[in-house]
Amino acid sequence: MILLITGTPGTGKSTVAAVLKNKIEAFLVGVNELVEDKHLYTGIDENRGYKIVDLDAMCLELNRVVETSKEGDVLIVEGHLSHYFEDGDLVVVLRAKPSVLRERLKTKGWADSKIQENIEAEAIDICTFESYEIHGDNVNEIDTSDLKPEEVADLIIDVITGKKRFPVGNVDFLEDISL
Amino acid sequence: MAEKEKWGVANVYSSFNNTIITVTDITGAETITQWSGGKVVRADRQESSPFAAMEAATRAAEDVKEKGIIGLHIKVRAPGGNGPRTPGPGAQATIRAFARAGIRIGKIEDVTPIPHDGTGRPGGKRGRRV
Ligand SMILES: Nc1ncnc2c1ncn2[C@@H]1O[C@H](COP(=O)(O)OP(=O)(O)O)[C@@H](O)[C@H]1O
Ligand SMILES: [Mg+2]
Repeated sequence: MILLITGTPGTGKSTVAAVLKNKIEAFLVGVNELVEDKHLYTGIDENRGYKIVDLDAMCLELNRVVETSKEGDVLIVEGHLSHYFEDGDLVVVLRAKPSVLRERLKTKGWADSKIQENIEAEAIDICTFESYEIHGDNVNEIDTSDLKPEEVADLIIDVITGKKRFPVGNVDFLEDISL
Repeated sequence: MAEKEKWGVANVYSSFNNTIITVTDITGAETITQWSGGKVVRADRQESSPFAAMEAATRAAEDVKEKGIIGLHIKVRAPGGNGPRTPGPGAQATIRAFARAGIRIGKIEDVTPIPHDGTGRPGGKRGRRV
């Protein structure tokens, strides 16, 4: 099974995925690390300075990882672009209230403009929307604002086992952003 | 006479469930009005956004006209995915509702944010139709 964990930077993907991996003995791929290791980028974004990911190359590389896995393995693919991998079986979008996300991102020491852009992206559901366009009803979104990483991991396990569903649209943060 | 030519800027934030429209003066310093489409029935998510947006835009248009503003430049923030990059349904509905209310529509700018850390996806939204 291929589980994609996506969401705006700072929503807790890396933290939660590490906890989850240990709980369920899964294999974990961090997309950012993969992109870095294999140089899967095409250039640098002029205005923002990030590495522009070559999404086709990223998907090819993920396919290679999948091919080396066995039947019954759980493979977690974690990263804010992971939803572009069409072969995922299940998608979890981690969400955080813009006001909460701002506080989490402040600890990363990023420029205000970078924090602001990510917060706006979170408020208008960018990752959810993109995930939904590609994966439809296989997408779940979990509001992590008032949870601990451990609790989020447990909710994801409930999603994997079919005990719970968090359908797209259950999160609405637009009113939270001070416009 | 100068009054008659007054223009403003409408910032449209469109999400899966909702649309918020904030109209400012041309400098962005003064907020003239702000309307939200409010929460809508989840089951109707395909429909909800345009309805909410139209509602919000119609109210905003009334306020705008009352202030003597004849036209609006539009800044859209709306998710669109990687396909044909159509903006969130709320954005188009908003612009149509403004036009229907007799507001002149000026420059339409797509300022949709891109989530990014050290990496991000290709931007290249220029030329996207709104
Ligand atoms: N419920 C939660 N889930 C995940 N992370 C959380 C949570 N609450 C607080 N955090 C904190 O938020 C930050 C998330 O950072 P990180 O895992 O690097 O996010 P991402 O990988 O999504 O960019 C960490 O400092 C983490 O401790
Ligand atoms: Mg991370």
